[in-house]
Amino acid sequence: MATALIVNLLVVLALAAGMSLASPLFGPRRTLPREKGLPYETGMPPFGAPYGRMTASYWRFAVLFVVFDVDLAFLVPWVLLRRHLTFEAMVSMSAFLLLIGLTLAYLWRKGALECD
Amino acid sequence: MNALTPVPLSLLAPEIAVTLALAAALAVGMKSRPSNGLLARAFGALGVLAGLILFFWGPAYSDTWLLRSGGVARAWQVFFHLAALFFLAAHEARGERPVALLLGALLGMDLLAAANDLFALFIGLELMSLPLYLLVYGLRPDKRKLEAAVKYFFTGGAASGLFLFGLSVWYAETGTTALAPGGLPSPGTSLALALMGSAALFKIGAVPFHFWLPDVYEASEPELSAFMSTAVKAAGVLLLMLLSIGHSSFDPLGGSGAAFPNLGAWLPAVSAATMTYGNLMALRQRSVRRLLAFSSIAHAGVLLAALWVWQDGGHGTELSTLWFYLGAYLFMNTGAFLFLALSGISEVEQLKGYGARAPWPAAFFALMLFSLGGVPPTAGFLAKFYVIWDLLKGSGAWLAAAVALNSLLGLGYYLSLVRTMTLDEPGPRTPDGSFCPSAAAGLVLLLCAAASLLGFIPEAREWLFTLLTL
Repeated sequence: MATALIVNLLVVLALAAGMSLASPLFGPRRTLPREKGLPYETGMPPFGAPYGRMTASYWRFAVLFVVFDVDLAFLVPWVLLRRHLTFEAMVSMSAFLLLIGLTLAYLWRKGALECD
Repeated sequence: MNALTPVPLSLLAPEIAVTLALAAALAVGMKSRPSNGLLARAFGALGVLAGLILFFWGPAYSDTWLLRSGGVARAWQVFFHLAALFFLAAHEARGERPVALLLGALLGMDLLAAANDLFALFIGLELMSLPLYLLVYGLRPDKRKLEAAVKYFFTGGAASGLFLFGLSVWYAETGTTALAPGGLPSPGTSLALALMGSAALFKIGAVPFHFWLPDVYEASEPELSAFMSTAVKAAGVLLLMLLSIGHSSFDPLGGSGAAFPNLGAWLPAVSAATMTYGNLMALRQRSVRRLLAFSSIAHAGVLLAALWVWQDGGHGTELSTLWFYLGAYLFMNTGAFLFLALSGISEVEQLKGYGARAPWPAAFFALMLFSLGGVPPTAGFLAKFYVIWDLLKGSGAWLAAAVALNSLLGLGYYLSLVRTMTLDEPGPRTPDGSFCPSAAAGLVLLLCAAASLLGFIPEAREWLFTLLTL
């Protein structure tokens, strides 16, 4: 099994290196004049950074989304199989939900859910 | 063991106590007036103590497909809880966030100790690591803390990736993710163990996975460095041990006749390289925090040698040696870092003549340094002595020589620090002698001093072993 892994690794390396090297090796040798390589902006020379500025709170929402989404991923099977589960499963999941709820309350209180 | 068997919650009694403390700390933090964190720390300490008591008083040894209760690995929880208590005692009250993060890390470590499945191990590992990244960042961050936290986060993430890859290879080889002896070792399981062991070595700070350690220990607050250098290292050693033995019905007194599963021939080599690297680099340091960081790398190497003693097997004292070393290390390293925290010293220059300005704190730090260096009559000496002795009794003579030589190297910088404190004239950057620990921190300092001295009694190793296997 380890040989399969090593062969896989070698093939991946060969493929990546091959694709990267094939282009300059086999492609046409032509360098574009400088003006043709710039991004098109209706004739104006481009100014400013090509990337805009992004609010960091987007990242915070993304992290919170992932956390509660994983919470949901644990909830869904439990909800579907609830009928066949024991009382202890109810206790466990209730404890889990309480903890998640407490965390949500804490975040709310600390203002992590504000979007200003 | 059927994977659908429900796991009784009573197995998790210490963890439930810590979780309740965590919930209480968060609840305290929701007050409208910003609290000074004292209540949160009190709740945290209560939960940690409750967990410690429940370890001794809890349910007997039992074993399910996901978690275990009792047994050898859970003894590590005593170290984790003690280190957490020391952190809570020494940390200044600045809000509930550090307390909550610490309790989260402690929960992860406890889960690591209670795990009986590779996935539970991974969850414990991640739960332990993520709050630590945030704790390094701290509440009043500066550029250095930010850099250290980011370094720790990225390298830790890479290590977790290695662990997961090893887990998947293990599953492909053995068809199960249970921590069970996998039969005859095959190339696949050796690869899996090497990958998962790399993640453990990362946490321990062993060469060649140590690059994050000096920056992180130098930048974070000394109380946090104390916690990381003791509890996280112990967790890494436990992780290595669990990966190698697998099964939970481990007999601590030397195996039931079956051959000890081997982590790999790389363990003694890594141990020797780690010790030597840590000591050599520490000799050059001008910052005391960085010096202690490299010294903790060196001690990690000796810990790995103690682990190898256990793996070598068959002599009946190995686990007690490892535990005694961990215990002695917990107290002496915590004492050293706490001294740094309370005196405000971070450069070697600042130690010049400190003995003249503050004799008792300097004496305490000298005691810690003697213990770290392995000078009799301290616990550190006895711990190293037992490691060397067990190595010589087994088949590790060259490793014993490496440990002895490295102790000599270590003395080079430990004793030079003591000399700077006592024989040099006070320099321009030496702080004045104000050294005011809070009551709790003072108690911790007393405990560290007492342990470093009382640990010299030779029976201490057997007492600790009896205590932890109650």
